[in-house]
Amino acid sequence: MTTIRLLDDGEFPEPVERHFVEIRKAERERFGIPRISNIWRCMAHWPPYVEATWRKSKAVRAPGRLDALTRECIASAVSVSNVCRY
Amino acid sequence: MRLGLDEQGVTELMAAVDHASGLAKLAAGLRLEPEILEGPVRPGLGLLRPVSAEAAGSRVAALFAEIRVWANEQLGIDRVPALWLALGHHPIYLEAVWRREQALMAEGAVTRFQKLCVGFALAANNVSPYMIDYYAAALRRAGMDEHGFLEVLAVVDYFNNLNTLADGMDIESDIKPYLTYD
Repeated sequence: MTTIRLLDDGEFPEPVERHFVEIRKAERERFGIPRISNIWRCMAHWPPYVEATWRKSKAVRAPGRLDALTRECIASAVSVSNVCRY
Repeated sequence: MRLGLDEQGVTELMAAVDHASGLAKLAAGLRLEPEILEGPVRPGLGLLRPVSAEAAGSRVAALFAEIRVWANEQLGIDRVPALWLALGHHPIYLEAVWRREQALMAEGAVTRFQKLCVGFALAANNVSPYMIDYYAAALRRAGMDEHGFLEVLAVVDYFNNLNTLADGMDIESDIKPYLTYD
């Protein structure tokens, strides 16, 4: 059970909904999931949090020296190391 | 997460994660200081005394010779790194860890470069100065530049952000059900 209630579709504040259009598309391509994932539904309670995190997410994944697979390997490794089930 | 890797690829990734996590703890326990990129901070092996040649025996000497050739190629130093020197006090353990390193960090479904990135990321995540230096030296040798190092650390930073939020708020994964064994 999540500590706070996660927002449902239709409840997202306007500035968040704008970012969620992009995030929904990115998550569909990356994980094949058709809806905004829970972590963003949690952040949506505070729009500046979504904005700052989404901007960072895009910066972290911007084309550079590493390919997408290497980045995902590192992300997965860190999450395993932190014993994060999410 | 499947990452577009097959079963062996995911297992290879996990093997690199498990190996790098163990080494970070081992180096911390041995109180080893960074020694490769900037040279040894001070002589010695941290917690342990150096192994004398007589005490080491021929089996350990043979392993050290092998490790020295490897360190020259992969790390760019003409000596046995302190981590492996310290393990010389326990020959069976040295051999097991060294053979495991050779097997797990080799090129496979996940490339050696990707495994080194994972090792470096985990060394940073585990705050192990010795292993950060060790993997950074190997990555430099493999052509990693300043931007590349920051890209790895950016992923470490960002996923610590997400992990902290997900754990702090006890958020259940809704991604997993969509990841199938295809």
